[in-house]
Amino acid sequence: MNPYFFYAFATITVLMVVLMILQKNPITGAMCLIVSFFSLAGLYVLLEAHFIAVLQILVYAGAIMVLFIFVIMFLNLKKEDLKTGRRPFYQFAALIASGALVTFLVVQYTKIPPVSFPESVAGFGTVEAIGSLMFSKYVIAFEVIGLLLLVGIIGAVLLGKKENHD
Amino acid sequence: METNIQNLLNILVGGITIWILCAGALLCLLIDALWPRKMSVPVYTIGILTLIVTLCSAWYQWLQPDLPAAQDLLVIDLHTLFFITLVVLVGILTILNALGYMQLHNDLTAEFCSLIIFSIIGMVFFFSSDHLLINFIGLETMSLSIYVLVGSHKKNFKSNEAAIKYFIIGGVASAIFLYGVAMFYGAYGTLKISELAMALPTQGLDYLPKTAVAFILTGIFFKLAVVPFHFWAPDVYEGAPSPVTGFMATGVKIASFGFAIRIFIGINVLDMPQIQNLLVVVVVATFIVGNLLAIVQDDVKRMLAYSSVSHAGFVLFGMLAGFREGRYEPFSSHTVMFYLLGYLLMTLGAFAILSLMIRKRSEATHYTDLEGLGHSKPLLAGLFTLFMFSMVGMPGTVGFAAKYSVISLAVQNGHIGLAILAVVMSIVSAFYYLRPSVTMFFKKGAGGCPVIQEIPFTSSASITFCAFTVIYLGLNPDAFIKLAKIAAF
Repeated sequence: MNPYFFYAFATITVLMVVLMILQKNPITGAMCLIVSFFSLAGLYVLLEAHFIAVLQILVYAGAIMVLFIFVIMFLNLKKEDLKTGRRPFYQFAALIASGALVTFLVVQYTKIPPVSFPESVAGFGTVEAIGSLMFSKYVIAFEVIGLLLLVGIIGAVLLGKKENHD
Repeated sequence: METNIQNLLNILVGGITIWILCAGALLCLLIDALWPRKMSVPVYTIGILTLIVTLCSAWYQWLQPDLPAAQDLLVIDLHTLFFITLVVLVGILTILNALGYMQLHNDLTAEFCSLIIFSIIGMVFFFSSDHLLINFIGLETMSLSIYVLVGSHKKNFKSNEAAIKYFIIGGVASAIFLYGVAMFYGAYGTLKISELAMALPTQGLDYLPKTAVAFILTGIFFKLAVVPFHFWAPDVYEGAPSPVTGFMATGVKIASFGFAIRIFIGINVLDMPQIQNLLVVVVVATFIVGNLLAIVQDDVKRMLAYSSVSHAGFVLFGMLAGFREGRYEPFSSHTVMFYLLGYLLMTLGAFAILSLMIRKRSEATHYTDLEGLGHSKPLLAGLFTLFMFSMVGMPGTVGFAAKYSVISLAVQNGHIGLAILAVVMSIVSAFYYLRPSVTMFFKKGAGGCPVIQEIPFTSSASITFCAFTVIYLGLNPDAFIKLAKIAAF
């Protein structure tokens, strides 16, 4: 993995996610999220997971973001709606808690001894390799994810359906 | 190719209990889709039958002298079968409660039944797999179904609020859990618990797996609602429909403990002193905060939410009690399993009665709603008092046997201070557990109609079952403690 590319993509990802949280306007926030998705896809390419990178762009940057933006526009939020009540105590507590967690993680990170990863085998990350693993070794995982998606659909229908009695 | 077919066959035969559940859930869904709004009662019947067949097949597998060897991603051992029995029991009682509840509230939706079974499937995958990937998918299946169940009272503002709250907080918890799993993968390149156990050093963990353990624990603590992570519990438990609250308070906790026992005995991380200190802090905080906040509640459901927080603390204390001189003895997890069985029965019995309380077509579980119930429905009020006594740990009920086995284990292994705290907190808990009974029997209602008017057959079946088992297990716990001992690792 080329370290320069890695740091470039990683910086963009983190920066954009932070910007997304800080944006007042939801549409701008969503745009920042798209950029972070693309740079994340770049990271996947560096890891030789090309198929995952393509999926990342197709599914997240394509389908899910369209849905996000559609919902944001559908809600048509006004400036007054976006004002949040200020709660200094909670903000302060959240700042301390997240700051402590980040410090902890950074300290732990510096202590990790250098890890050498094995070279990836030929054909790693291709559609064929993923497909054959998915339908042999991980077939149970595949089936359970099918159930998980089914539950998601049932939930969406159950909560979104119009009541026609009473 | 042949090995693949053999592998699939093994999965099919070994995991037959799970596949029965899947088939039942899909059948319920299909019948409801083909004949909408007409077949609700048959759908619920099919749901209950599915769960009973699952129970029988789990029992059959239990009796098999040699269980199929650990499969690739699915481990069907006695531990799994014991926990399958527990969650399926939760499912049967919840569907019975839900049938009664929905007849009273006049909205019988068939999806409810299949969502409960899907959630049970998720729970089974959560604790029965040896692979953290499947565990996580199981956790998500379980949680996603419950988010929907919590919000299934669409017109009730509190139910909507509870669903959103639980969804967001649960999502964060899942993400933290997944982060921990990813760290394990980063450190050792595998997600199989048995392979991780080989890769981990026996003494002194590295920094990466330590952080991974902390994150996975955080995810589990969220689901258990033990003290630093309990803030969502009262609001969500209050807003959710009563049968769902009972399901969450028992099923989710049982599944999480099943997973916790499997992973921590599997990879031996509990032996680290830091993890033990962390558990001590969490247990002490849970005992104190859970019990003291339960006193000041004005609503029975909120009170039971805090009570479930303190019970989760008690079960965690049972895990902690298994340490002898800094090493966890896997065998001692049987106290935890028996405690969970007892907790399940008394909690679902109490929620079966709460599900019947209705006034002006909405739930009425405030303490003032209970006034005079002891005169209009003395038997029901008496049974509610029985469940409350069991939660306190009165001798002769299963609560006593469960608490006794945990505390005696703790004393044997030298955790005297915590054992004393547990006893003191059980005495404190008598105050808030007996308050509903005092309200029911000694306060005259302010006129008006009593809060419980009719008792559907299914609810009375589940209440009777719970009351009977609470007393039976309380008088004769040995047989079931023996079962739990066989199932413990």
